[in-house]
Amino acid sequence: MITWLTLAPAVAALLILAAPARFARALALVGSLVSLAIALPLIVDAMHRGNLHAIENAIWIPALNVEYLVGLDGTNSLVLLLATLLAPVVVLASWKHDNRPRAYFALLSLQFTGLFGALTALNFFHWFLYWELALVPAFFLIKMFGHGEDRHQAALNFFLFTVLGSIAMLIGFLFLHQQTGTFNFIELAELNKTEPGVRVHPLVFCAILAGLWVKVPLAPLHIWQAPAYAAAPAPVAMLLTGIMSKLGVYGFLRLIVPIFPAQLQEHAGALMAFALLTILWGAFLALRQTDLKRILAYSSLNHVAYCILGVGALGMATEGLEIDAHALAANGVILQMFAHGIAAAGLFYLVGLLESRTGARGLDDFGGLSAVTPRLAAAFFLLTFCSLGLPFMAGFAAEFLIFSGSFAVAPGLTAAAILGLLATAIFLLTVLQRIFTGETPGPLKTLRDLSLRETLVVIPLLILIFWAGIAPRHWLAWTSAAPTPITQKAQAQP
Amino acid sequence: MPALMTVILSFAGALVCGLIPARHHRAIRWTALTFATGGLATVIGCWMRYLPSLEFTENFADVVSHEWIPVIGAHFHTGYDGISLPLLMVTGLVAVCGVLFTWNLEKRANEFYAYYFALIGGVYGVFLSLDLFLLFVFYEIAVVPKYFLIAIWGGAKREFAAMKLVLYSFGGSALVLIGLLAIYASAHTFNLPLLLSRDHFSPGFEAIVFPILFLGFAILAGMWPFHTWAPTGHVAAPTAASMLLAGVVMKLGAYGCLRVAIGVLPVGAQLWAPLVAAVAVINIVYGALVALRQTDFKYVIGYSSVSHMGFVLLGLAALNATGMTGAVLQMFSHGVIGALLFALVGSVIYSRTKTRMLDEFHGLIDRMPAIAWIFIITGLASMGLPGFSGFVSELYVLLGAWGSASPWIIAGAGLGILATFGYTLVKIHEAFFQMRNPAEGNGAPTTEYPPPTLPELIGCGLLLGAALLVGLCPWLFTNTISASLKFLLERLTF
Repeated sequence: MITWLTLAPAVAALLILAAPARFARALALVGSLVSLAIALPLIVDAMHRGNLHAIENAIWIPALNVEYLVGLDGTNSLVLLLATLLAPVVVLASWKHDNRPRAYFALLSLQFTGLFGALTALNFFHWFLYWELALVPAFFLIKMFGHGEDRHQAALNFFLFTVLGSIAMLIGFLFLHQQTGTFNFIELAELNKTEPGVRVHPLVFCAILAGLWVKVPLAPLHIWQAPAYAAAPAPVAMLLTGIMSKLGVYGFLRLIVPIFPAQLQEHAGALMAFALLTILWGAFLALRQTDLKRILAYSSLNHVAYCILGVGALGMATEGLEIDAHALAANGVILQMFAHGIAAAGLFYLVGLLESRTGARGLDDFGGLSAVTPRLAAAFFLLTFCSLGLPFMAGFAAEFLIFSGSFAVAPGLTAAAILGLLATAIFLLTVLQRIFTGETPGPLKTLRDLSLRETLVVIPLLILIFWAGIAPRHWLAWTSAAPTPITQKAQAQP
Repeated sequence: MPALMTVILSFAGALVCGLIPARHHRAIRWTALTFATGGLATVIGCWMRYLPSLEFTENFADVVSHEWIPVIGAHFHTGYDGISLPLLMVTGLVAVCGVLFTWNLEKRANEFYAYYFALIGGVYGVFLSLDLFLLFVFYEIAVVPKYFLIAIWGGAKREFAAMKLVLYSFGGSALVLIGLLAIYASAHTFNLPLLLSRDHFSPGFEAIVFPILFLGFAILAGMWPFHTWAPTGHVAAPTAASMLLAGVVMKLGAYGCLRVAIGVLPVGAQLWAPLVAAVAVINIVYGALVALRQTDFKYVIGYSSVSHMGFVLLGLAALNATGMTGAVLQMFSHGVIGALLFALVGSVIYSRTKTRMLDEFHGLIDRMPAIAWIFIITGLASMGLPGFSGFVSELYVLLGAWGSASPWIIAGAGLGILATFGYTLVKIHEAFFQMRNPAEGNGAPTTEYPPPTLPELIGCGLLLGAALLVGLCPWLFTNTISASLKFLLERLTF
């Protein structure tokens, strides 16, 4: 089943290329909805089981001991749900796209396949295939359909950074394969149950870490991010921030935490310090920006780094603690991916709408919009508040969980990160104030509010945000069973 | 359950008022009045039931407890006792009177009352929470509506004031969050009654965490030198909002200081009490002296709030039954009197004179005699006229401080009382008895202003009546407050 949900958008992409251009968007929507329809029962089913399930296992390349293995567990269920939910939203957000629609929607669908595949694959061989597949369409989407002349440069930087990271990771895994004889993530994790565990050269660990570091991204490898997000068309930026950046965090949870627990434990403090640096640096950069898309990009940098703070906490020792700090942090990281994915995608969508209507996206180009476009303003405010971490919204529950886990193991760093929230509040509130309050400039007095279709794109996002914020346990039901295998192994190494 | 009706009614009020179209402002204000009165009636009902049941061994009444987020052990756990009761009462009173004093509001009235009731719901929620996670949730909920109430309906410099207030609030919340996480990491529970009932922490822990937690809450209570948000915010806010800010929101901070910081960490409180007492005296004296220098009538009231909150802090720092009872009583007393002063200055007088500058007032005692006398009585009550609640509460505070603090503190507080007398009398003179420029003679206007309207009279009557009732029969509150402080006092060993 997982194979079908992964390939459905790819099939749609083929059909788009074969069919007349006017069917392109409908086909893309159908493809993403098919994926969602297949994914939902699987994910709901995952709620009732803790362990890996929906497994498909087939021998692929016997000589290299490579098999095709996909499955769902607590680590990837919620991220897959996020990805499959956002995919149709992204298609709907590009509904009015009429510049070479066949190429656009085919690339978009291919990217969906890459993302879904990378989130479900459990063998490095085809995981890496999907990981790269998710990258290439994004490159062309930015390059062909982006805004501004610097889009070529931005796309190239994005591609080079990510590919160099991927190559490092590939080399790392080849070494790992040579040593252990397997690419299978589950088997690799199992190795840690017996002595001596996964023992590799530190450089191998660093190489794999580098690939994820770029993808998340964490400072100082984040410099590709803001130009790429700013140049990308809004729906593509939604994908990049909503799902692609989560792929990096997911990589940490799938590769680093279970396979390299000893190495993680050794460097957890440094990882958390880098996360803190990224949090503060992202907020600082966002404060200095006047371009809305760049502000959102840096906001993304800032928020995803909270996930890595939680990942770092998973590597910290918990001897003598009565609360399960690792479970708290792991739950928080997974929920934060979900919360940020939805809120950031929604915000990019709204900024995209503003840009397409006014041709402007500078902070100073707007003002007093809450009187002119009340629906857009309300949606923007709510999504921003979710990013800010206001109660009863997903971001609050997620950040609280991360903090409560990481505080128990690293109080100083966590306290600094919590004070970093204040910087986040400053730049987000500045955005709200500059765009939505004050005097409305003359030409904006006739700005159109959200249409019915646009409202329908936003409302599901808002429902999810409130649902996950008011009753986080409905969402944590998947993950509550999952962190144990991750964290037990993290603890297994003294 | 009945006590929870306050929260439910408030959020229902926010929803209903928000859904009525803005042009029906008559319907909106009656709806708002209904919901606010419902909240007040609920509180009075709770009080009537609680009053005779003093010998109850169980500390909290009306306890509701449901599991909420199992992974962190957060419960939806509410109830009230003699400490929360006066604060619930003041919230109910101010909520009703805020509607009465903004009876003629027509600008986007539906949204106004939506934010208004969201704020009130958050405040009720904090006073009822018996779970620290829930308390923090409601505490954060109260932040956002303040921003909008000021930024949309406020006066001059409203956006600056709104931003400043929100950032101070978020800063305070960040510190509170750090403190709560430290408590959770160490005690593994958010359950407030459990945390209050016995010592969980080492003295070293309390010595570090207490100042963080106390400062976080005290920022909202207007503690010097973090008080500057209060005058700016109060002055820029529309009348109903400044009544809530001064009457209720500052009490949130003081309540948190008492209930959470001192209640959970009594050992730390003992260590830091001398410093808190010293800062409290600075609050009293500094607030009074700055009030004396103001020419804008609303700033006078704003700084008098800072001064009066100093008495609350001084009572808390006494750490004995008399002082802390006085602190809670002062929260109530300043709640009703401070709110009434803001209503009189910001709405009743301003709507007639169209200015708040004291040097532009001219012979108001003859031109609006009824209003002038109401203000004079309120001003004297605020100064500490016997017969009103302010006298009793400040007496309690001073007696309490006498028992525990150094003579210098008492001397400082005495100086503060003198300064309070000074600015109250001077400002009453300037506002009502001063002729603008006697040389102008017949050039100055002498027309009479319209008499107070019925809603205004009811509002004044309710608030002054409450202050008088508690002033004459302080046992209505002091008995329940002292009874509820018993547990805390047992843990304070000198």
